[in-house]
Amino acid sequence: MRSLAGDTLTTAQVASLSIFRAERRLHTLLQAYEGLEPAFAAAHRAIDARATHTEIDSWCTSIVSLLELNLGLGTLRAFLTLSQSWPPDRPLAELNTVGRSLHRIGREAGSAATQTLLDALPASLHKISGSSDLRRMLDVFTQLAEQAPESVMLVAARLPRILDGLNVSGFEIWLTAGLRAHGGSTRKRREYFAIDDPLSSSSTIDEFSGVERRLAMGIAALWDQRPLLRPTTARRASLIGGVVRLPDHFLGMTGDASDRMYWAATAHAGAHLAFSGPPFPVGKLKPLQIVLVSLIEDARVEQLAMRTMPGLARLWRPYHVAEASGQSAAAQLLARLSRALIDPTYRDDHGWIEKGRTLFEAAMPDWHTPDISRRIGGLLGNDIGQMRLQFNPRTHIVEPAYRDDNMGLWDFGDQPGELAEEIEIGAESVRLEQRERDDGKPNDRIDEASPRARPRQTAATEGILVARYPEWDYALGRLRPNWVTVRETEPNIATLPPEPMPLGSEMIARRMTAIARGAAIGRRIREKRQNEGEILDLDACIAAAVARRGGLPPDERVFQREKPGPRDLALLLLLDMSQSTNDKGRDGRSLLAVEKDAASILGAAFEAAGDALAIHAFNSDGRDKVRYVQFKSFSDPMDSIVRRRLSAMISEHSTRLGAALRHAGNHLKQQRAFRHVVVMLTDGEPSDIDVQDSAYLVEDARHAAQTLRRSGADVLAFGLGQGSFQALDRIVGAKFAFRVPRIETLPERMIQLYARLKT
Amino acid sequence: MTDKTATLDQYRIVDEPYYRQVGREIDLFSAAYASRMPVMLKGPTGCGKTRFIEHMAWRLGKPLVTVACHEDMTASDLAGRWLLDADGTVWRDGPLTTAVRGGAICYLDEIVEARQDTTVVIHPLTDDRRILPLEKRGELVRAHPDFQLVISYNPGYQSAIKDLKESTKQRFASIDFGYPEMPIETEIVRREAKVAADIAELLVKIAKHSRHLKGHGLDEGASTRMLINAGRLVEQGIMLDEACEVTLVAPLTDDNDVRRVLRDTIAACVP
Repeated sequence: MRSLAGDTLTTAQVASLSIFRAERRLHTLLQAYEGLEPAFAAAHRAIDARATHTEIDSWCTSIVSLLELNLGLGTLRAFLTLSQSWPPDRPLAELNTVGRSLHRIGREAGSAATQTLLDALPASLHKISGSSDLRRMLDVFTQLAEQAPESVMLVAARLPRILDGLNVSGFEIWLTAGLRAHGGSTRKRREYFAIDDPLSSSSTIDEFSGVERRLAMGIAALWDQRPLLRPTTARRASLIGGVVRLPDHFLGMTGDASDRMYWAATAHAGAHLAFSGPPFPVGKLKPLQIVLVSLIEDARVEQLAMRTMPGLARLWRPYHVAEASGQSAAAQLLARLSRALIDPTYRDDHGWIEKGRTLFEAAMPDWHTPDISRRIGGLLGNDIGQMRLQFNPRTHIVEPAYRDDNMGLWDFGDQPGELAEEIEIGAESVRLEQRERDDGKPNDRIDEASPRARPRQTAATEGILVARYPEWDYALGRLRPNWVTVRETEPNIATLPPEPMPLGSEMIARRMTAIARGAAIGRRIREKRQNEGEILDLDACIAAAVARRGGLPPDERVFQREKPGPRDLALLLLLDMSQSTNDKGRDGRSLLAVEKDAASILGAAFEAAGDALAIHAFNSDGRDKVRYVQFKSFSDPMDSIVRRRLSAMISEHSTRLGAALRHAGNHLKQQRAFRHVVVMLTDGEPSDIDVQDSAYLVEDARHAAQTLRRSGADVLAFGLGQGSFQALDRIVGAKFAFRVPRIETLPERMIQLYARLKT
Repeated sequence: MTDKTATLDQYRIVDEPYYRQVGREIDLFSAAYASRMPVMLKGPTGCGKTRFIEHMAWRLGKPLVTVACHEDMTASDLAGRWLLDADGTVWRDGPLTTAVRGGAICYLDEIVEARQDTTVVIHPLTDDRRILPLEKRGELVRAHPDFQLVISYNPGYQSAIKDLKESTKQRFASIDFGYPEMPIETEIVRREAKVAADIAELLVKIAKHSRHLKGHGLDEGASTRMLINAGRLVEQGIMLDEACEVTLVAPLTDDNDVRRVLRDTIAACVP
C-alpha cells in the first residue's frame, strides 16, 4: 500500500493507524453522553480480561455503530451493562453478534424497542443454549424489526415468558407465521404479537369474532334483547343463564354461508329468549322425550317468531333438508319432523310424523304457552321410544345446525346421577359452563375446558423499571430522601376478549367521542372586534360607520378572525388498583370494573380528538414495593391490546398515593402538550401497611400534588364510592376533588370533566 | 303598521297542515296558548314537532315565524341589526322582533344548537314582563298580546357542552313528542305517503325494530318522516327493500355492520 507521500507503510502500521483513528472516534462519540465513559471503561475492563484482540475490536466497532445510530443513553448503558456482565460460560463472539443485530434492529425499530430487548436479554439468555440458537433468535428479531417495527417492543418485553413455552424454533415459526398472516395490518400484527401464550393462538378457527358485533346488534334489532354473546368450542349454540353462546365456527362454513348461519342461529336464540318460559323440570322424562319436547319447543318459538316477522321463514326453512325415505334411525325421523313443522309444502307419509304435525297444528290457539311443547313432546317421545329405533343420547346433536342445544330449556335439578349425565353429555355443551352465575354475569375468571381461556394471574414479578422517590414527612417538615421504591411491571394481557361494557356506557362512550371530535376538529374560536383579521366583523363595521356619520371617532377594530380551538391536552389517568376497589357498587359491578370502563371511554374520546392519554395504575405493599403499571402509554394507540390489558387488571394491596403521583409526574412531563393534567381515580384515602399515622400519607400526597402543580400540571381527583374523601380535599384542594358516590355515573362525570378541560 | 302586517302575512298558514293527534297535545297547546305560555316541544327528530306547531298556528289563526337555530347565530340575528343604505343607517328587525311586534308565534327550532349568549335574549320574553329590550336601538318592545314563543329541543343529541341552562328550561311548559303508537303511526304514514295500509303497517314495524338499536348502533331509529319517504318511493313503483335502503338504511348510518343488520332485519319483517 502506498501512501500519498509515496512511502510504504507496513501492515502493522496501517492496522495500528486505523485502530488509533477508531479509538479516537469512539472516545469522541462517548463524550457526547453524560456518564458513559466510565461505564464504557468498566465494560471494557471486563471484556479485556477474557477476549482476544479481534473480539475486542469487534466489540468496539459495535459500540461505535450503536453510538452513531443515536439510540440514546439508556440503550447504550444497557448494552454496556450487558457486556460487563456477559455470562462467563457464553463465548464473547455471541455478544458481538448481539451488538451487530442490535444495530440493525435499532435502525428499524427505534431506541425504546431496542432497549426493551436489551433489558429482556439477560433473562432470556438462560433459555437459549448455543450460539446458533441465539443467532437464529436475533435474526428473527431483525426480521420482525424490518417488517413489523411497531411490534418489536411487544415481543421483546415478554420474551422470557415466550421462551418459557417455546424453544427458538417454535419462536421462529410463531413469529414468521404472524408476519405472514397479518402482514398488511399494523393493528392485527400488534394483537398477534402481544399475547402471552403463543401456543393458545395456534390456528383455532374463529369466525365468531368477525360477526359478534353484528349479531349483538341483530338480536337487539329483532328482539329488543341484549344478552351477552360468547363464543364456544361446542358445535351448537347454547342459552344458559341469559348468556347466548355461539360456536366459534360452524363446521365447514366460512364467508357468506357462515354469516347467514350465525344470523339464523341468533334469530333462533332470540326467539327462545322472547318466548320460552322458565326451564322445564326433567322429572321422569326419558332422553328421547326430552329431545322431542325440545324439538317441539323449537318449532313453537319459531312459529311465534314468524308471526311477527314472516321473513324469518325464508331464513330458517332452507336449513331443513331432511327427506322422506324408508328406513330411518331416530335422528332422521327427528329431522323430518322438524321440517314438517316448519315447511307446509313438505310431504311425509310416515304415521308418526303425520301425528306430530296434526297435534302441533291443532295446538295453534295455544302456541303462546310452553306447556304444549311439554305435552306434545312427551307423547311423541313416548311413541318414538317404542319404535325401538337406533338412538344414542351421547352422540345426539340438534339439527339443523342453526338451532341451539336446548340445554337452557331444562332444569336438571337433583337427578339420579346416570340419567343427568347421559343427557348433559348427549347435548354436547361445553362441560364447565354450568358454573356460570344464573344472572348471566360471568365470573371474572372463567375456567373453560378450552385452552385459550384464563386471563393470567398477576405474576409476582420483580418489576422492570425501578425508581426511588423521596417522601414528605409532615411531622419532621422535610423530605425523606430515597424513601420509596417504585417498580414498574409489564401488564398482563387477557387472552379472552374483554367484557363488553354495559349498555349505558356504550352510549356515553359514543357521545363522548362525538364531543371530542366536535371539540377538536374545526372548532375555531371567533374573535370579534379585532385590529386585524381575515374577515370584516359586520356589527363592528356598522357601528363604526354609524359613529362616523354621527361625527364621533369610529372604533377601528372592525375585523374578525378565527383562531385555533382548544389547545392540545395530555392527560394521565392514574387508577387506584388497591384491594378495596374490588368492592361492588349499586349495580353489582366492582369499582375496578367501573374504573376500567371509564378509562376505555376516555381513551376512545382522546383518540378521536387527537389528544394524548396515558392510563397508568398503582398499588403498594409497603414503601419498598410500590407497584406501577402502564396500561397505556402516551404513544400506544387505544386498541384492543390496551383494552385487554385493562381487562386483566387485578387489584390488591394498598394505596401509597404520593409515590405514584411523583412517578406519574415524571411520565407526564415527558409528553409534549399545551396542557398537562393528572386525573386520579381512587376509592379511599392513601394508606399502606407500614404506616400507622393516617395523616402521614395524606400529607405526602398533598406535597406531591403541589410539586406537580408547580411544574405546570393540573392535578384532579375523583373519589369513588361512599367515602367522605376529606383526604382528597386536603390532597388536591376541594375545588379539584370530585365525589362520585354512585360509581355507575363515573363515565358521565368523565364527559363533563373532559368538556371542561377542552373549553 | 302596514309594513308590519304585510311582513307577517307571508308567515300565515293557509291550508290545513295534516296532523294526527297522538296524545293530548292539541288540547294542551291550545290551553297554553290561551295564556300565551311559552312552550317547549321535546322529542327526537322527524316525529312531528314542526308539523304540530304549523298545525296549531293554522288552527289558532296566527302567523308562524320559524327560525332554524345554529351555532353561529348571534343575538342580532334574532333581534335585529342596523344596516346601511344610501341615506344612512336603518334598523332591520330580526325574526323574533317581527313576531313580538306583530303578534305571531315565534318558533325557534333546535334551540340548543345556538350558543347560550344568544338564547339568553329570549328570557325577558318568557316571563310575565313579555318585553324585548333592543339596546342598540334604545327601545323596549312590549310584546303584542298575541305573541307566543315556542322552542323545540331534541334531548338525544345533547352533550355536556351544549345544553339548555336550567334557568332557560324552567321558563317553558314542555310537551313530549315521540313516535306514536303503531296504529296511529301507520295511519300517518298511510295518509302522508298515500300508500296502502299493509305497506304502511310493514314500514312502521320495520321502524319499530330499528328503534331497538337506539344507543346500540344507532343514535336514533327510523323517524316517521323517513317512513313517509319510503312509502312515497313505494308508491312510485320502487320495491320495498330498495325504498327502505334509500330512505332508512343509507341515511341512518355509514357503518357497514349496522347497515347489514338493518337490511337483515328488514328482510325478516317482509313476508
